[in-house]
Formats: sequence, C-alpha cells, structure tokens
Amino acid sequence: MLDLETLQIIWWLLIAYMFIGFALTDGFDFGVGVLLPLVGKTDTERRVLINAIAPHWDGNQVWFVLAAGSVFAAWPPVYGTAFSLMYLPLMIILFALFLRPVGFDYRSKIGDPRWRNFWDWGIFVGSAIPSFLFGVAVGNLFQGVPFYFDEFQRAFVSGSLLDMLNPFALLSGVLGLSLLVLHGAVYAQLRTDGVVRQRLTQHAHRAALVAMLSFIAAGLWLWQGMEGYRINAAGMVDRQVGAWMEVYENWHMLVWPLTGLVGMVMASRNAGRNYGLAFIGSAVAIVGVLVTAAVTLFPFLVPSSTDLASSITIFNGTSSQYTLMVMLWAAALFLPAILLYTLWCYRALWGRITGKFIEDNSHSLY
Amino acid sequence: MVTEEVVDLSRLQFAITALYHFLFVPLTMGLTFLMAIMESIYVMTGKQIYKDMVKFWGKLFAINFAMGVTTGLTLEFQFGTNWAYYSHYVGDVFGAPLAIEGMMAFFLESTFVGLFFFGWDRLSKVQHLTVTWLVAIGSNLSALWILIANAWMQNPVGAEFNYETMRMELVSMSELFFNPVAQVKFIHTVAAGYVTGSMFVLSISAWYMLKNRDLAFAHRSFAIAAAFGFASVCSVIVLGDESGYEAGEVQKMKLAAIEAEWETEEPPAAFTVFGLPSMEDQETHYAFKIPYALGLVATRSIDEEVKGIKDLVKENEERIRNGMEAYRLLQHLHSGEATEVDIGSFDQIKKDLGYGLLLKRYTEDVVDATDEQIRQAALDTVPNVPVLFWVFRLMVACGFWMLLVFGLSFVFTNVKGGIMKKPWLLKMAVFSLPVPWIAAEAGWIVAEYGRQPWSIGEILPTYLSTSTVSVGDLYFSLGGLILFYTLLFIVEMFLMIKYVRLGPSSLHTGRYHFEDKTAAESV
Repeated sequence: MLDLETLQIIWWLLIAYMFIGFALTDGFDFGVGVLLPLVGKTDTERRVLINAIAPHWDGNQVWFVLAAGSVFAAWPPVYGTAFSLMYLPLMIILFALFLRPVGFDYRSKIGDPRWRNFWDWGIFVGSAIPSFLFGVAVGNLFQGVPFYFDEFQRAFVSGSLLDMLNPFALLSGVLGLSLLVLHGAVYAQLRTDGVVRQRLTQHAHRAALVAMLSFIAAGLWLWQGMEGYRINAAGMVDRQVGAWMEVYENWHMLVWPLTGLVGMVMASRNAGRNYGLAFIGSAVAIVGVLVTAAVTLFPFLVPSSTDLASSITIFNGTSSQYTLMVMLWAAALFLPAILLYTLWCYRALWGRITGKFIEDNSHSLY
Repeated sequence: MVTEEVVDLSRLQFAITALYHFLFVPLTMGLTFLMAIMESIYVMTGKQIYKDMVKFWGKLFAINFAMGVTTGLTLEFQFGTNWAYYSHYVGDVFGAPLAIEGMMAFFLESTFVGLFFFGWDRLSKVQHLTVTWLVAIGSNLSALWILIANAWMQNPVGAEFNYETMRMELVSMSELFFNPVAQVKFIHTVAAGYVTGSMFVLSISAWYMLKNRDLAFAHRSFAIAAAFGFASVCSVIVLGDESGYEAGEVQKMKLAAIEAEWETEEPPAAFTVFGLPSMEDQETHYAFKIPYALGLVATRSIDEEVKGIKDLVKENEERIRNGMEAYRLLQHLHSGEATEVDIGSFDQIKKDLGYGLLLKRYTEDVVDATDEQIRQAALDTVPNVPVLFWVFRLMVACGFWMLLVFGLSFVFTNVKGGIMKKPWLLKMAVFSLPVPWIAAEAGWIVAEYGRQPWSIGEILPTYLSTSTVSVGDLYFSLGGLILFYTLLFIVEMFLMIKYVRLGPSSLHTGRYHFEDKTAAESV
C-alpha cells in the first residue's frame, strides 16, 4: 500500500482531473445553453444548437456527480463543511440544474412556440446560473470561509448568501461564466454551419476578452489586495497579503496562468477561422485557469476565516489510507474505461448538425 | 445552531427528495431491461414491429429519465449540504460506494443513453443492441452501489471507529460489498424495478387493447411484460421474505416494530396479520394472529425466539449506560492524558458509543444524564410501530395483488383464445398501474423510517447527523424543492399522458393508429 501522503497527493490530482473533466465536457454544454436563446433566432436554429450537445450532455454531467462523489469519499470534511457553508448557492445551483435535463428533453415534445421559448430560457437560466456560481464558490475559497470544528470534529458554519456574493467572488463568477461561454461558442462552431456558426464568432471574441480581463484582475487582486493563507515555518496556518502568490516565487509555476491566457488568445484568434484550433485553445484555457486555481490554493482545500487552525488542507482533510487506496484501485480500473467509451460515443455521433437534418428528423431529435 | 426544528426539517427534506426520486428510478431500471429484451427479439427476428416497440417505449422512458437525472443530483448533494456531521462521521466508508457508483455505473448509463436515443442510424443493429444492454446494465449496477451504501446504514459492517479522527473508518471493502443486507436489498429493489417497468408496459398495452387500437403492437408488448413481470414479482416476494430473515438477524428492533411484537413470545412466535398497535399502551389491540408464522419467517427455526420490543428496550437501556461510559473514556482519550489501558477499555465498549450519543438529544454532556433521560433515550430506539405495521402490510398486499395480475396475464397470453377475450383482466391490468409505485414507496418508508432513531444503525443517531444550517435556509430549500418538484411533476405527467394517448403513432412511421387504420392491426 502507498503511504498516506502519496495517496493524498494522488487524490488531489485525481479530483482536480475530475473537475477539469467536468469543465471541459459539461462546460461547453453550459456555454451552449447560455448562448441558445441569444444565438438561435428561429426554432430550427435553436434546435441545431441543442442537438449539437443532445447526445452528450448527460454523460458530461456525470463528471460533476463523479467529482462530488469523489470529494465525499476522499475528502469527507470538505464535502460536509463546504457544501453546508455554501448551502444557498448550492441549492440555487441545483434548482437551476433541474431546468436543463427537463428542458432538453421536453422542449421539442410540444410544438407550441410559447412552450418552446419558455424552455429555451429555462435552459439559459439553468446554464448561466451554475456557470456563474461555480466561479463564485471558488472565489470564496480564496478568501476563506467562516466555520470552525469543535472537539468532536463537528463543523459550525456561519455566513450568509450576501457574504458569499462579495466583489472578489463576483469577479470569479464572471471568469467562470465567460470561460464556459467561450468554450460553448467554439464547440458549437465545430458542430454547426451557416448563419448560426457565423453569429457564434462575435460571442467567442467577447467572452474571451472578458475572461482575459477578469483572470488578470483576479491575479492582481490576489497579489496585492487580499490576505492569503499559508502554512508558516512552524507548521501553523497564518494570513498575509499576497500569501497566495508565494507559490509563484518558483517562477516555473507561472506556466499555469500563462497557459490560461495563451489558450484564451488562441481561442479568440481562431474563432470563426480555424474551428479545431479555437476549440483546443478554449480547452487549454480552461485547464490553465483551473490548474492555476488549484496550485495557488495548494495545500488548502477550505481555509477557515473564523479559526485558522480549522482550515482544511489536503493533509488533514482526507479519508483514511485504506479508503484512499481502495478508491485508487477503482479509479485506475474505471477512469481509463470511461475515457475510451466516451471517445467512442463522440466518434459514433460526430458530424455537423444542419437545419435540414433537424427538419428531416423532427420527431426523433430534441 | 442545531435544534429539533433543524433536524425535523432536514429529515422532511430528505424524505421528500428520496421518495420523489424513487418515483422515476424503478421505471428506469425496469424499462431499460424491457427495451433490451425487445431489441434483442428485433435483432434475432428482424421484425420491424419490435424496433418500433423499443422506440416507442423509449420515448416514454426518456420523459421519465430526464426526471430521474434531475432529482438524483439533489439526493447526492444533500448528504453534504444537510448532513454535514454524517458526511464527516462516515464519509470514509459511505463515500466510497457512491464514488464507485459514479465511475462504474452512472457514467456507463449516462454516456450510452445518448447513443441509445441518437445512434439508431449511426450504429449497426448489433452495436445498437449492445448499447441498449449497456444502458440497462449501467442502471442496474448503479442500484447495486447505492444499495451497498444504503445497506451499510442499516447494518454497518467492515468499519471501525477511530477516536483520533472522530469518525468511522473502512477496514474491509469486501465486508462492505458482501454485506448480507446489501445482497438481499439489491435483488429485492431491482426486481421491484422490473415489476414497475412491466406493470407500466402491461397497463398501457392493456388500455390500447381495450380501445381496440394498435393491437399487434400492444399484444406483443403485453406478452413480454406479463412474462418478465411474473418472473420479477416472484423474485421480489421471495427476496422480501429473505429481507425479513435478514432483519431478524441484524435489525431486531425494526422487525419487532413491523410485526408489533411488544412481548417476547414462546418460540415460534405468532404473526399478527391485523391489529391496532398503540405506542402509548405498548400493545396491539384487536390483534388477529397466525400461530408460529413469524418465528418461522424470521428465524427459519421453531425454537429460536423473536425478541419483543419491550425486551429490546431493556437491552438498549443497558447499552446506553455502556455508551455513557464509552463517551466518558472518549473525552478522557482526547484530554491527552490517556494510557494504553484506557485505549484498551475504550475499544472494548466503543461499539456502544452510538447508544451513548442518543443522549445528546437530552444533555450536551451525555455523562451526566439522569435515569429518566436514559429511559427516554431507550424508548426513542423504538421506531413508530403503527406506521411501520400498516405501511409494511400495504406493501405486502400490493406485492400479492401484482402476483395475481401478472400470473393471470401470463397464463392467459399463453392459452387458446388469449388475452383479448378477457376484458376484465385487461381492466384489472389498467387499474393496477399505480400499484408498483405504492409498493416501492411503502418499502422505502419501512426501510428508512424503520431505521430511526439512527442514521447509521447503532452508530450515529439521526439527531446528531445534520449540518449547522439555519432554519431560514432550510425553509428556503424545502419551499424551492416542493415548488419545483410539483411543477415538474405536472409537466412530466402531462407529457406522459399525451404520449401514451398518441401511442406508437408518435413515431410517425405511418403504420399505427391515427395514421392508417388498416395497417398492422391483426393479432
């Protein structure tokens, strides 16, 4: 059996991998959902956009379920404290997510335009709110969240929804939303043609610009404007302005934020021209931004602003060695299989969704 | 702060979301299998009508499936949002099957379900059939891991309490997997899903036949549902009986409550068929009993006794006193002055720590509990007897009713003259449509309400398991859930009814009722 510390690092990598998988795949579903009523002017155009993600959104969403389930199994205290701390935002995310499966599946089952328009905006809300609030949640982690553990390891939480919607968190929300809109736009360009595809270009440009500006602004804020958390020489948690940026004293680490920025530029420049490169660009941007967030927080998972010593790190917040090992076996067995059959599914259903295809298969498509 | 109100609201929310989710799950499990069977027949015989059957029942499946996905998310996240201490206390054990469920089953089902709907023209016949089977297998494997997790709440094997981390930790994955309760529950639950899917197809097909439309289509669907449903309902009942046996082994209090057996009787104990159990008087009025039956079912012997509620309460009072001692030692271990001897004596009685924690409801300190508080906590270990007694009987009655419906349907589809000549049986099938759902919901109420006052049997009281969220937040989430669930349910039923009425004509093949009156209408 591997030793505990190694397992803790491996699980940090694995869970990061799952969240990245979620953002890369379900991310474009969210982006397309936001763009749906903005880009699609006619019913057929909207159906083109929906059917560009129709066969895959469900499988993609499992990354979210899997990532959350793995947090439960590998980081139980994070699962309990972070989710109950962010109770209202998470409930709002869940309510919003209700609208997506139902919207995709039910909208085209009835022909009435009012019905269809209602669900199109339902999908919009169900995609925009979670994309934004995921960013807000991550933004709050950087500021620390108000909770402490008692001697029985029971977490006591305080704080309200309004505390969660502070300026830095809102900035992170904008970053999350714009990244996913960018990703959705360039993905949809791969799967559509004609006027829909043209209209997506300007949305991709705008989203990339907003993402770049908010990413840079967030970096400056962390550097100059915010108390970060760190583990000091004595092994205790303390706070200091700029502490989050200490990881970049090793300048090699700057490769991650740069990857994010390069990806955004690449996606923006190629949108509407080279669709493949644009998609790769936005994927690279997502990986860059998420890894940047993860390495900046490292080794913290949920820093506590109430009681520094209660902060959860990857070293004090994991399951037992045995559980991590069992789970590692399961991951080693199933994650490669998931990748293989997911790719097979995409390959089997790959192709452009055109207006004619929608009209020819009106009764079997979404 | 955690008050009774927080606990009650959290429980209510969990009950609502779980019962609501399970309106959609059994139909998914059953229909995926039925569709896989139908498609297998299509691939073997090449008859178009079987492909149409897969596609039409698949349309209804899709309407149901969207709701299953939607409501499943809430359930998973709720452990973190509303049951934070539970997540901390048992996440090391309980999280693993949930995560493995995602990797092994949920991914399989959800990835291939898209290919199932949209891959008809992209895949060969055999490839598509494989996809359909993978969806069916995925949804069933999903149930396996969820029920392993649930069975651990009922019968927590393979784990140990660690006083340093203040939580339960997994020590044996194989014990968790081979938990006898999990084995029984899995088969009982998936078979109940098959029964639900079969009843759905049976009732709707019977309705078409009564309306004299789409006869060839309806008759074939009916025959498959009757055969599959009959086999499944038999396994549900046999495995239900097996559950009773398991409960006799590991959840004695639940069994005694279901049977309203207040006193330990001379073995073999009698089975109370009907009666009016009263919590206050601790007895069952007007009881009508069958001699020996309970003893035979619960112990599979004539000389083992089935313990009655009053005796179990007495035992539990002892265990609560033990638990207080365990709690005292635990505090001592945390003080940093503990010796090896203290650790040893804690290990000996830590299995009763959970009983000590029952006192948290009455006194924060546990060790200073009065005799009255201890008596009260011991009484709390009795779940609500009248509810369990009646809900259990409702479930069993539904089971036997369905055995009758499927049995008759199966027999008459296979004798001369056939089902078409038996309108009374077709009507019986139509009106039985809600029965499997009533049975399934009743079953979960017995299983989970009967687990109280524990969230993890004999380990962690429900009272202690919640998050420290505010009452206002809870009302917000509860209100939102009820509102969304009600609206979505109305929309779902509306679409379901619309598409059932359209029938296979919704496929627009030109072969069915509303499209061409003469085609494919002979049996």
